[in-house]
Amino acid sequence: MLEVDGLKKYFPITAGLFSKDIGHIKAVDGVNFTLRKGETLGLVGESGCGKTTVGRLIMRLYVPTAGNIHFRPHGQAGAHYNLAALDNAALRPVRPHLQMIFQDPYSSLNPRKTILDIIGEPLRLNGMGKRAELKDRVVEMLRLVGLRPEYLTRYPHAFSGGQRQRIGIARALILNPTLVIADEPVSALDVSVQAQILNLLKFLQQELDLTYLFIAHDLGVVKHISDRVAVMYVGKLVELADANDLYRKPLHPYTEALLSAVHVAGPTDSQRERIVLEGEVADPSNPPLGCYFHPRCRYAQERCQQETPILRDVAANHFVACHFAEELDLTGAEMA
Amino acid sequence: MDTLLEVKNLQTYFFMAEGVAKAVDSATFSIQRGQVLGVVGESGCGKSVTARSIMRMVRPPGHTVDGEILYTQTDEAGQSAPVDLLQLPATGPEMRSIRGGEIAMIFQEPRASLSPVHRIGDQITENILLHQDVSPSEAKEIAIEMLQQVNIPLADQRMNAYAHQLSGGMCQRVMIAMALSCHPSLLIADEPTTALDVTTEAQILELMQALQANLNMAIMFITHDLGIIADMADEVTVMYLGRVVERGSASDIFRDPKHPYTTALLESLPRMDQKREWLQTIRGVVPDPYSPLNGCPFHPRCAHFMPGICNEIVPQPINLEDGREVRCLLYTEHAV
Repeated sequence: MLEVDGLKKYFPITAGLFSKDIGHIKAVDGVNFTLRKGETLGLVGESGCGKTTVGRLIMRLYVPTAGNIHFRPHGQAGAHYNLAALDNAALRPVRPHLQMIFQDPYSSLNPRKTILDIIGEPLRLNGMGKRAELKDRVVEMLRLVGLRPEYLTRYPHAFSGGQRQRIGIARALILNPTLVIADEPVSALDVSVQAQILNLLKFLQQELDLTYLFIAHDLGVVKHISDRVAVMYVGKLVELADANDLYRKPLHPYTEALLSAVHVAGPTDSQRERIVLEGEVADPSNPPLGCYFHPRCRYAQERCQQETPILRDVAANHFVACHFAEELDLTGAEMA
Repeated sequence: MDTLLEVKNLQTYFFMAEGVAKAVDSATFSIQRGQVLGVVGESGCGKSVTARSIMRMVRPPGHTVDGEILYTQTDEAGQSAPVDLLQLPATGPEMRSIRGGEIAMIFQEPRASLSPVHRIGDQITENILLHQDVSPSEAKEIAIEMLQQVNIPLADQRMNAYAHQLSGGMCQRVMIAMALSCHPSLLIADEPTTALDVTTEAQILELMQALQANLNMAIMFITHDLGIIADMADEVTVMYLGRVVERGSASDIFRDPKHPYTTALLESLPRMDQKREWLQTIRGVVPDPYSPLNGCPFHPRCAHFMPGICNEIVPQPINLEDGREVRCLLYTEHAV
């Protein structure tokens, strides 16, 4: 349904009186992946790795520097759009198919509008539905996300974080989108509320046949919700595989380190080795030569300093960008 | 056992226009010398206010209205005697020498806790000069030594850096260096890694564990992350709505949680090592702090709610076998 091919986004670094370009931050640097209808692809990585930028590029909130985003909202047979090549006017008919859920439920809702206005706005902007019709549709959405219809005339301040996230979800889904990009939708929420929202997202996916690009940094959450998982490091995908395969048997040393850093909330019986990475994430405006991860990689060899690995299919749709993926024997997460 | 800090019946209330919010409502717990106490709970449970009450840093409209905070102070002759911190004037000389000297604190937002306009070296040196009888040049030496201890490379050059020139992880290291520069016997860490990335979090936690072992210091580790608690803490205190609902050793609590809230929290977490199609949720939300509930504060959300009992009787702490304590009516004669 969605095919991202060689996607790049460079942000210029400017200096001086005339804002001369003095370099580029390679926020997204050649990313390829596909999304199948009805699946959830988890996109994980640390802050600054470019995962949010990927989401925003697909939403076309940014203009890509290079690459293509092929989008077929009605499946292979239906209309085809290359989102990367369209201008704003040409994007208008596609936009309803693409919706986004944001991280911070406190800042993503306009405090001066009622819930009816907030959830109904996408319908109004797209000229769909008159006043009464619109209200019916909003009430229907409220029920779907588990909020009471009486809340229609209230303002966002009257709601808790979890309820606000439900409002944000209702607003995103009111246009019947096909692809929903959820950017850290639960990271601002408390554990008990996080579980409610994750269940809701899963329920809505089944009910409405939605496809999710789920951007998050919490590996436990991503494992729970995703069919496949992509790991990003400094603007590039380093690994992409079926969620179970990736957690059980990671093939990239960065994925291994991320998995080993997860704290499992259970009795600590096993003396599992925790890999603590040295140093910090590479600077995306001045990344190291070769593999971007090599200065922190404990398996790095000479070749890693020279040659940038490409993302390649190693075993049955398990993609990895590491020269030594076949030779390394990496440890995954403990799974029942 | 060698008790370092004993908090008895602590009550810190906030007197607001909307009413009285009982942020901490009769909290009782203790910290042993050289031990890590994990304090866990969702936002608004009073864990940060508890820490601030110990440091005597609660600002109006908040007031600590009752309770005892017995801190075992050791004098130069090696004699130790408990002092009630609540009896000391908050801004008096005794409290000022304890705060930042014997009891140090680090916070969630490392960059916001450092001054943006002073060099980090000066900030650490200031703390050392306040609490130790040394010359400015000696203080500088100590500061450099501390920065080396927290693994900051090129420590003598970094003394001249400003907070904005350092990454979040580095700023947290500086905060730790500052906190430890006066050899505190207790370090209060309030969500010290929540704002950090996973791999940086792993570095900071490893550092804290190493320093704790080397310096034989007690840590009160406040977090919402049950996974971190499972790895770091010896003892655990679970808080809900200003009350301690359960206490015990970390291994006991994770193996066999007694309070329904603890159980529900653990089950609502998505876990990498278990396949859960739907997550357990805790129904409802944390109630409004201004309208106190009758009986047990958790009863509207509890899966084991006993009508006529839990909404009538306030549960008192109950001592179970093996030194565990739980505040739940299921463990009393009221249970059917």
